[in-house]
Amino acid sequence: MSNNSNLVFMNRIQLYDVLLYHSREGYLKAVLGGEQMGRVKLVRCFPYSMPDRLISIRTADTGKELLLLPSLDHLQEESRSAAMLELEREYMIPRIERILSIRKKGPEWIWSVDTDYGPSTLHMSILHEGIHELADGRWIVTDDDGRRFELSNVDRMDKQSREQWGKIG
Amino acid sequence: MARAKETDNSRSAEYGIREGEAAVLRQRLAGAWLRLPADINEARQFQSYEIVFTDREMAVLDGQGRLQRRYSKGMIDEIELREGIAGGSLNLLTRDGMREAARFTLPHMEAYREAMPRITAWLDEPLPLPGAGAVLAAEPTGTAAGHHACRVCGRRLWHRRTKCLRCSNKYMMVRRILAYARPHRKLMIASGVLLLVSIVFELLPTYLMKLLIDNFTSGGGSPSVLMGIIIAMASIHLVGTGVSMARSFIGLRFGGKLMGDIRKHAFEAIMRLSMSYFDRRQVSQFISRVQNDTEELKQFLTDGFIQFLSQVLMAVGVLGLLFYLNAPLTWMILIPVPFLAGGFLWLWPRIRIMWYSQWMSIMNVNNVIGEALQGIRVIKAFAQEKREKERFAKANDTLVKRMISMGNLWMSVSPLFSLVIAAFGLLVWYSGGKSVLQGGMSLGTLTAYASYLVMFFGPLQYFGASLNMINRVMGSAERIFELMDAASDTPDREDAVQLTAVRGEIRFNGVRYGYDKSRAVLKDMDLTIKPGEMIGLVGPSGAGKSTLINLVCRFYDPDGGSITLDGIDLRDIAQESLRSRIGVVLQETFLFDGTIAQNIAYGKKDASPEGIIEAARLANAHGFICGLPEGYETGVGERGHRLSGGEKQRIAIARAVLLDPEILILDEATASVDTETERAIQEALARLVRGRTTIAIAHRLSTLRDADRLIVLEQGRIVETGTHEELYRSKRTYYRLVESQKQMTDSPSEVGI
Ligand SMILES: Nc1ncnc2c1ncn2[C@@H]1O[C@H](COP(=O)(O)OP(=O)(O)OP(=O)(O)O)[C@@H](O)[C@H]1O
Ligand SMILES: [Mg+2]
Repeated sequence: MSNNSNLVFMNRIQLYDVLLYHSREGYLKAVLGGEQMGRVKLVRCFPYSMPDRLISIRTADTGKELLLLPSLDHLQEESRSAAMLELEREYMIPRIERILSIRKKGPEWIWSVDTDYGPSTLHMSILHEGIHELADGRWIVTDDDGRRFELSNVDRMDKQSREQWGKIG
Repeated sequence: MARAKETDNSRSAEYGIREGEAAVLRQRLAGAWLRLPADINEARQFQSYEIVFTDREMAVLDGQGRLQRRYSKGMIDEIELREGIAGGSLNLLTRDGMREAARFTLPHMEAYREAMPRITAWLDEPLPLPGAGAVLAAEPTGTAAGHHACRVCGRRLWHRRTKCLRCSNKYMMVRRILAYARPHRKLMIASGVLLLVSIVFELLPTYLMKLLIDNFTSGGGSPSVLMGIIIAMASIHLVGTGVSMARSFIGLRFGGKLMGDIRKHAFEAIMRLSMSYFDRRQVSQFISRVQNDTEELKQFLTDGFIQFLSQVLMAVGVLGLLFYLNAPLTWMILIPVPFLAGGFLWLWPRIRIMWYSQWMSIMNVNNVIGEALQGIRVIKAFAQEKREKERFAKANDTLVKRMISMGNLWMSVSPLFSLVIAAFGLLVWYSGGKSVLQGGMSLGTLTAYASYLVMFFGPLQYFGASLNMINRVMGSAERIFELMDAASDTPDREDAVQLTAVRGEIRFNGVRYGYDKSRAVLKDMDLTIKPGEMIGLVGPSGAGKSTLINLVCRFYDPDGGSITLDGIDLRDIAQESLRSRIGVVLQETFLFDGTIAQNIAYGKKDASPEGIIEAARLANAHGFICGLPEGYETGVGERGHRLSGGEKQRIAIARAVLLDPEILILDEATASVDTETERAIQEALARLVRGRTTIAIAHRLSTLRDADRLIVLEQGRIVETGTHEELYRSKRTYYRLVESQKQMTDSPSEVGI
């Protein structure tokens, strides 16, 4: 591994022969191996733990898989940003980044949180039905309106968040 | 917040716009025929705004009603609703390409879905002539989520809550708990009277003691007074014991009955709920709810509440006596009371949350146990006992940790109470002692005073402890009432129709349904099943076949469109009446604890033994049942004899047959029987389906050869309908399915298929 050129080679990611772009109508289309595949959709295989990896590219109408992309890094820059934009449009689960407070007011639980969609307040009348554990340390929080939020890695958040979460989690 | 906006469009436009402009805008928006709320802006941040459709344009208004953007209808070529994960967007295709007009979270989705046909119609309509002011769609200005009414008091509600704040506050809750005591109020009143008596009797001995001491110390004491006091004290103790015994007996009776009532209610509440309620919940929790939470409520009603009252009365009584004995001293000892009260207020919310999280941990432990037991076969088959043990240990540890931290809080607070009390006791002895020495107070009074003081602080300390109790009870009550108040998703209307004669015509009108509202499982389903027709439903796994029959049984209600039986909307038919007309054999059969005969007669309790045998014969189950040593009395279900998959299915078929229903639904009814048996069952079914509307699902397509019509479902849509020959000839989806099955059975290596 001391060989410099070898290192460069190892770092270079092999690009897949796939082009993704948005058509004028705003549809995501794909060209695979030079062949026009038409409208496609992207599916995150692990939407919470690996949002940028293992992306399945499928036809929009039949849902047939065209390609399983190990990572977005395997795309050229333009395709990559088109893919990111598309994923952002498709997946709308805000991630909670900070828990400012969790209070119980009367029968209701009120969360004040900061998310990657900006600050928000969640009202939950039945707390234990609104929190679903997906995996170790990963939760989906659903408020009374039916909005969903992702909550993960609380132990990496600031002290206040951890304290608030510690009260109930 | 995803709250529905009020549709007061005349006022909303005035903010921040000059009067002239505002007037124009107001006028323009007055003709709005549709308003849809949205809550995510272009920068992908939460912000509530609204999109408004008038006859000639579409406008975006911010939260204050200010105009943000507008698109005239002429600019828009197409409008598309894009349904993403947990939200969606409304996209416009204009000459300049695609524009996102609105983006919103899941709660708004349904409103957009519903509005889409109208929006498309609006777009197709030619533009109104200038000044003509043609009003399209005369429907009332639409808002998204409608308001709901409180299930308890009927007031209007915000949000999707089912109860208003008024009805879920503490006092209301206590009132609802106490309502359970109402039928037993004689017992309760008796108990209360006895309580009063016993409090008086508890207070008396100390006063007599004072008289006794004063009798000694006053110098002129007489033995006859002494005797009198002693006799009085003896009788007080005697009566007191009698009273408390009577109270215990009453309490026991009262408590038992109450517990029974609450448990019954809770179970009835569970039975009333619709399927969708159980889809998303682990069921093991309900056992603990019905058992433990009702126990908690009972405790409160029999002991807690009475004790609380008695302590209040005691405190008031003692305080009166203290003032009577020595008013100035009493004022002094009241000094710490506000501090204690402050302490309670500080503790209250903390304890509440701690109890709740402790309860959640308990539920978690229960769920782990429940799941492990349900999945015990899989756990053993994959030798994952160790992993399950670890999972349990983790849940268990959390619970232990919670209990300890609860205890810690408590341990650190209650000695403080004792300290305060002790300090004031000493203070009383000091200042009281001084006044005894100076002759201002008798020794008896001081002794009595000191004992009463202890009695006074007793209830105070009790209130502290009862914080715990009250919080626990409130939690339990909340959960029990949450069950009882949970709205069924498929409620019966008050004036629901009782079916009399059923012809059996089932009609789907534009039915749309998704278990999860972000993903439609059935889409725009239009279908008419004629009376007596046999329909075969085929299609790949996950196409929505079982979902379709779930809707026919009304386990769920469609999100859009309607289903009718003989022209009556299913939502208008009493559910019991509907289901007694439908015989179902579900994909997963369940046998109850009981004999085979009882299981066959599950839907029809009054069936005769001959009828049961006849049904079993039709289902081709008679043979194997007779082979069992105990015949029709063989115990099956959780505790009994285990039947094979095919045997279970045949019992389920017999169950449906016995009901003699007008409508028959078979979901993979013959999936786990061998071909031989299947043929036999099929003959039986052929006899059975005659004259009944039948919907049969089968993966083995040969099973459906007798069907009048086959319906091919794919991804929630009907892609083909027709008879076997027609579909086979048209060489599309059905043809492919048949061909691939042929290949499977033809290939000799595929033994057993
Ligand atoms: N209770 C449920 N909650 C959420 N989603 C469900 C539920 N039941 C079914 N689904 C989903 O709905 C879709 C249709 O399911 P359905 O059971 O109707 O399929 P099916 O056609 O009967 O398939 P199969 O032939 O395998 O029985 C599936 O994608 C499934 O994941
Ligand atoms: Mg099915």
